[in-house]
Amino acid sequence: MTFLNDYAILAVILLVITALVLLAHFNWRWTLLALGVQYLAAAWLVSLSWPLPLAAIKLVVGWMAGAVLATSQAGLREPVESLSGRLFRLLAAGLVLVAVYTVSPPVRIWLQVQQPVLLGTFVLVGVGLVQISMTHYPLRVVVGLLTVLAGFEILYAALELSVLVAGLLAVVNLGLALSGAYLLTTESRDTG
Amino acid sequence: MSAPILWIVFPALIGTVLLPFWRKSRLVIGLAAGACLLLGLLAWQTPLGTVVRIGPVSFQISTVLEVFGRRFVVNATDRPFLILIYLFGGVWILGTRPAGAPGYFPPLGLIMIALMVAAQAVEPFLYAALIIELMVLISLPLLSLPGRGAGPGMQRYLVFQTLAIPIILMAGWAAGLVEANPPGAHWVIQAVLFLGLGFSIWLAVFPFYTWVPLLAQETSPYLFGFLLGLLPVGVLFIFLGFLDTYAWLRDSLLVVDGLRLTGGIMILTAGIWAAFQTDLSRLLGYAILLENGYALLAISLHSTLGVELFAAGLIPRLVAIGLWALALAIFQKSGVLTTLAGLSGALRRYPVASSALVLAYFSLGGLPLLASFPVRQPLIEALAGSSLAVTGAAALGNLGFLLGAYRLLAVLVRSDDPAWMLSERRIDAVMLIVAVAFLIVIGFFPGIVLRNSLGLVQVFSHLR
Repeated sequence: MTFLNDYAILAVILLVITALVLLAHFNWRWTLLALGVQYLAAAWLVSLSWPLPLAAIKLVVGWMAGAVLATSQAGLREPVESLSGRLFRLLAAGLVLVAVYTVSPPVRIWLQVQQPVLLGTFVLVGVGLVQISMTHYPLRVVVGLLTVLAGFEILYAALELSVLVAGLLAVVNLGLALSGAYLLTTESRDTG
Repeated sequence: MSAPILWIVFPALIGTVLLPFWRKSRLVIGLAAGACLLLGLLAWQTPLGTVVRIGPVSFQISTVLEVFGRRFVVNATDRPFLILIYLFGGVWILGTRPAGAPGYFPPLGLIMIALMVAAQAVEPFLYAALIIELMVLISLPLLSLPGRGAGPGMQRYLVFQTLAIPIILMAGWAAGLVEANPPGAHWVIQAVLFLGLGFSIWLAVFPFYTWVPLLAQETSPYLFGFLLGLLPVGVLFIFLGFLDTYAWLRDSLLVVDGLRLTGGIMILTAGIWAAFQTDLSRLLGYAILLENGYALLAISLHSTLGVELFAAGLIPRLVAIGLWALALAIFQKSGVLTTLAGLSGALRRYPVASSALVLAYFSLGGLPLLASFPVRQPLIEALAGSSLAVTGAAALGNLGFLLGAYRLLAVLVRSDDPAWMLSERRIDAVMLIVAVAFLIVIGFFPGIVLRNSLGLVQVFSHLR
């Protein structure tokens, strides 16, 4: 536990890397791998506020969501993305990261949570919103929403401990993944 | 037996059990609609929290169900809401076949209604945000029609509704802090901002409304009508729950002014877009936005009259939306394009569906002698006493909306063919005529229905 507390900034760095991979890579294997690592780092930050077994729920649920999304990928054609498009998204993410760095100190005074928790939240919510706003592809939209929710869950865990909320958020995450998988399969049925 | 089990768990279970049998549509419709109507009837007749004696047997229906330390409470004051929501659901499910809706609509619809009741019943009610999200997720397979992928409307719908969850949960958390620190004006502003943003996204307030017309165009109008009939009503009830719980919130001038301004902008924008819209499905979306705007204006009156007008407007609103959606679905099922061009001269070929469509439109536009007028007129009158600018905006928006209705009427009657024919099936025509008769009867005798609908808001004891 002390290790998780002392090196929590590592989780934030992991979140930044995974968020950028999610934003820039359209290959579904890379996407889901990054999503899995992202949930690992998110569970790490949640464990700063919650008991470890409860925080582990976030990890399990996130991995299950990734697995559900992975099952819908068979035979799907991925959208082709130009280099300029990727660079543009990365640039947007860079701006978000600068904003996160600038905004987090005053917000920390207001919310009174640990710095890594706040940074992790803002990184995921910010990059997730960039992801959602720049795509029409259902997988990217769902991954973006999962990213935003994961960011929010890190913060909310620091503010409130409720088993029912944890359970309902887990159901919502899985439901989002299932909906994403359903929308992806209907799309492939329609186009294919 | 507890009331939450009866009105939440039981219908959700029936819906889940019926789902695998969705291809047997008659059976599924019958059972789902029967369950809904029965639950509506039970809500009407069953006393909650008191001992019931039937001959030698006596029992008590408890009002509380505890789950993970949180409570779902359905008590006597919730009965009018249960009656409304289950009767609404039952009637809507009965229209599945005339509307050509898929066989999985009745079970999914039943589950969605159960979730909506759960969202009203959960304590603390900020958890309602998560339950509403579950409802949204369940609605996705319903809205995604075979042969069409997930269009931008559906994606935006999912995105906006999901983004509302964190904001509402944060609003609940901030509201808790305000309660704990009464003099903390600092937290009041944060709580109000979170709450305002969350509910604005949920209710598709300008500028978060873009998904509404898009979704209306992408999916079946009947299913869209069901969803957008159910969802905003549930969200508005949750909002009233917030206002009723927190004195600092309902007495905040920021909230009252914000609601009034938001309602006015919603009506103005929806009305202006409606005036230029040629697609009747998208117009239905604007009609729902207009209704949401009026509901916010009613709440903004900050008086017993306002809350009662909100309650009184619910039944006319639901009937008119249902009628509009059913008429459009019948046109689409018959291969008629539901645009102004496609409906040219339709009155002579589809007299019942065309008349129903126009009447629903006029009713939602607040035309005298139709169902919404008795609610709209006192609302505008009371609003004029508090803000002439918002009243003017609402009047302008309403005028734009009604202009669309006159355009529709002109298009429907335009025909070179003098012959009349009844192309609707008998069952379709009967359902439409019953709903039309309902709108007209409420318009002529508003007291019958509107007085009884006031019970819907008796649960909000501090607002009345």
